Amino acid sequence: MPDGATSNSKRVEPRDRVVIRFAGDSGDGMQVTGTQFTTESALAGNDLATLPDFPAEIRAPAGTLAGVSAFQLNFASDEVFTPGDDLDVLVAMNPAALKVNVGDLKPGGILIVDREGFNEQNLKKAEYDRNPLGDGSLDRYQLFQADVAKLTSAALKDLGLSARAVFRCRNFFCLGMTSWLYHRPIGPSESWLSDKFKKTPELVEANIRALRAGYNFAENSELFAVSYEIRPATIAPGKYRNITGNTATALGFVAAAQKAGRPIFLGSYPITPASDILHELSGLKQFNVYTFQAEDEIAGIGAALGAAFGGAIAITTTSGPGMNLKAETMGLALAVELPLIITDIQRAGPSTGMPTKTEQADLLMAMYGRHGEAPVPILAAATPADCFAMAFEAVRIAVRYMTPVILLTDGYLANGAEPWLIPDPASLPDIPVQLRTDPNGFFPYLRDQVTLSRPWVVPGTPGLEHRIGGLEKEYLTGNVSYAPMNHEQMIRVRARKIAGIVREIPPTQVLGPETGDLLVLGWGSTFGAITQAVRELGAAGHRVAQAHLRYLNPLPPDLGSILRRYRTVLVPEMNLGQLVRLIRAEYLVDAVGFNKIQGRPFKVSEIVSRCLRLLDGTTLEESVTEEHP
Amino acid sequence: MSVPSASDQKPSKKDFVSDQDVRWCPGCGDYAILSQVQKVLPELGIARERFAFISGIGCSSRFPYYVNTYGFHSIHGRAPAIATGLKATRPELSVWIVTGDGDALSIGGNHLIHILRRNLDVNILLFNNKIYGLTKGQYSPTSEVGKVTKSTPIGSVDHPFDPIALALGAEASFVARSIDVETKHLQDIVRRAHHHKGTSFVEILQNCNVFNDGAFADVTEKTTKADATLVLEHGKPLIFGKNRDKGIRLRNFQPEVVALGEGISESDLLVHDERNPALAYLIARLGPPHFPTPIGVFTAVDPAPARGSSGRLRLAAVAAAPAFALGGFRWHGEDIVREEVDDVVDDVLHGHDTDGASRRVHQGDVPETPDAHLVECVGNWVGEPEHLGVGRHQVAHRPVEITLLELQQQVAFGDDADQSVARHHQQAADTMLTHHSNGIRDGGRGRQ
Repeated sequence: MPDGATSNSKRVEPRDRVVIRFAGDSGDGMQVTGTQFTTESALAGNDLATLPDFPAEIRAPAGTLAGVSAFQLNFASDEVFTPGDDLDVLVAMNPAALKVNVGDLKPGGILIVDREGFNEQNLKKAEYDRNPLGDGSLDRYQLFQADVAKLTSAALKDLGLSARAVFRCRNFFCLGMTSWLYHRPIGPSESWLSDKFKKTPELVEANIRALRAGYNFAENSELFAVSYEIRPATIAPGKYRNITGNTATALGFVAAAQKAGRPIFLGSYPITPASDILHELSGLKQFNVYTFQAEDEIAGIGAALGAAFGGAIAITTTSGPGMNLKAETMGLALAVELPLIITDIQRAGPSTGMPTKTEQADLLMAMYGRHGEAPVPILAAATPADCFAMAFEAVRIAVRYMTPVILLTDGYLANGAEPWLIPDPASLPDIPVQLRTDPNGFFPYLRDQVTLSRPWVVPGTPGLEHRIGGLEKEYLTGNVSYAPMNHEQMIRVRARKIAGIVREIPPTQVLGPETGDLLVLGWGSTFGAITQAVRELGAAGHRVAQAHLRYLNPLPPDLGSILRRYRTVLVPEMNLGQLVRLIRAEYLVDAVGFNKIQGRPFKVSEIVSRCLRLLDGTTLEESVTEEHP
Repeated sequence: MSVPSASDQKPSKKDFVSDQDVRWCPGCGDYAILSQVQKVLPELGIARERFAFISGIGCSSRFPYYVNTYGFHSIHGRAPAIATGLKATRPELSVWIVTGDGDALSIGGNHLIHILRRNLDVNILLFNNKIYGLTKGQYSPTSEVGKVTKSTPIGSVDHPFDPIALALGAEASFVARSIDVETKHLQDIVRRAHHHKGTSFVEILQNCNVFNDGAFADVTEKTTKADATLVLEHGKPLIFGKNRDKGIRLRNFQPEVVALGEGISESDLLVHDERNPALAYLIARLGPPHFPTPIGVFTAVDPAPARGSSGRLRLAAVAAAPAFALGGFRWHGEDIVREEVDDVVDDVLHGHDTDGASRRVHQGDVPETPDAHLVECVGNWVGEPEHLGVGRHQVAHRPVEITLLELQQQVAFGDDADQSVARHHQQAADTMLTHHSNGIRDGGRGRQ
């Protein structure tokens, strides 16, 4: 039985790093194939990063360019920071998938196609005049054509399945082929299938047969002469699991609520790509998790705020235009000073925009998108696994400072996966929560001397009955007040409270030289691409460093001095320049923006070349200045 | 707020009066409602600290400030949402939503219908004065067609909601109406609302003596109210009138007012049945000018086990109470006790880990607690679809369309006939656009 350890006589070549993309029709099961290949790779001990890329339509017209769904994976024997720029391998199930993706395949790269998918009808839908398999246009690639549909059908012929059901097993045939090609163990995929289809054993049997048939076909046929071995990565010892950003976010909330000793309430309205957090948490009620699928975005955050009033760790999750609808209740939450986490899985906007595509364009909205003086702390996760840490941190800050907190991730982090060193729960910081019960000297807006937060008193506490609301509060008593000086005092104390969160921010990590020509400053999901780019530039002898912000409001206290240690600061963002605007305003540093707004993450090469041009340009400008003082 | 909770002495109305000055207009109907609620609360046998009053925005929504319990004066229309989160996580609290016709039926309409369909165990007091009071007198979603207000100088063209019919349409399990000045009746209804398990919806007709004085004069004036009000009582025939000599009869599936005597007896009349939502809807459609205004409990459907296929189990969208047996937390009175936190956190963090199958417990594996507070049922009474009745809104007729068109033209062109203002705005916008597009072209670099 194939189990990753191939015993065939074919040649085996080592590889350090492979970027593979599975592409097909949105009904071809490419996301499942990619996810299973990812699991196999994680269990093979490789470091990895993934990029699912699918259309917003659940089933776009079959065979069309609009309906192409893809899953990209970068796995390696050393550290991986991004899903990779150019492809080593492309699996294309039909002409449309080939057309959309082949441009990203390296010359000499491996191209695996289902020959039968390249029929006249599909070629026409993909707007091919001639069959690219026969016209020489693919000569610069290693083209492998397999009759996937026919071979799958032959493997399943005695199962009595419909032709459609058989056709839908093709993806596991392809998974089998690629698993053999890269020495992936297929056992985990077999277990997954057994669990996934446990109610329909014939589908378990069919898919496992297709998987094994693909594996054996690759091993035994003449098609592939070489297979590749990627040694396990040397990563810190410990127990790992694959995790997507959304799952990590959900688990971070659960861990934090457990550490705080409070129940979780999630109020949410389904929206792509945030919904997975709702799905994840709704399966975890044994941890005192309440999930509420509200009638709209406003009710989602409103119910969460009500739960916070009652003493729960209150969370709402949203994306895109949903964030606009949270603004009103965020204002209320900061006026009544209750803890609440608003999780914004950023996606391409404005309006409905591109729901399944990523973007970082909600930063300024998170900063300023409320009427009145309404400061809210903002945190941003840098990688899928970092979503766990930042979700945990968001809860910690919210309850310590009695404030709404905005947690920004994005579609790329949400759906992307990476191996995650499972933390020891005992090592996670405690989140002390003291619900006030002592009536002596109590005032609803009596502030902690250090944090300036007000006491958390939940209904049901005898002797502390009080009223809160959105009208301006009298300092201390919390009674309604329109007094002019009181209003200014309250505005200032709320602002000071949020500014005081700087004391929670750890020193900013600078990767690279402590001073130099260029600092690449990023936030959010650009972390991987920036890290890889800065490493490459450093290896090429450039004095380039990197700093990545996970705390965006307030900004880290040491950031100003770091910025001044470099001649130039470059801020790559998937927006028109939002962090760069804050940096320039806050520090009067002439930071330069680098912007990509295409619904796709930065490639490493894009950042490298932008840095190189900037490094050249900086030198040029300086010399000109010297000549003409 | 310094009055301690008195478990050893009987609470009284004054225990529920806060230290804040009441700031409704003198003569406002809200005073009477506040007073009746403050009278009822101490009788309910619930400690003061277990009450929470949640409101939105509007005159009625100031209510929580004046009741010495926990209170939350929130934002426009959102009180049902906030109450949902509170009640879902703190089922032991007695949660009251105080709202108005604008707050509940206009800006918060969506939240209202959804809390009703979820049948969360909270109480809604909707003060209906058929006007926007706090914003100084615009028409509301219950204002009659043709209502002349500041925002409708030639009369409102919008057809109004009937709050009772709307609540019944959203399948509320308890729907009632009372009147601000009917103190005894109002107290009874508030009491019944409290005792009902599920969402209790109470419309209280309330006079705004500043912006809509006398909107309900027919049912409050001594001379007319007996003939204009139909007091609903479960199991009793629909009889009204000063001499209790008039009744409601159903003929050809249409209700009609009949005089008792002359061959018509009580046995010919409709008999009220609170358990019949279809009948409740028919009665909800009664009202002026042809019928008296019904007050009382329209429907009160008790939670009962679902029976057969026609029974309908109501499950709130909120995940049910946590399964205590699995560790993590237990409720002990008010306190949450942590148990074996690390083990359970560890368990979930390892889902799909690298050395074993998932140990995550899926939702389907968690036993439901049989008394989960959100699991409720209603009976399966379904009436005949022919019982449609008539509305209380047929007072005015929709104006012809030309009037509306004329109004629009007047607004659109009246103050800017030669379009000079519009042109000025366009020029300013163009200037801004040029400025911004330069900034964008520079990649956000600003000064160089």
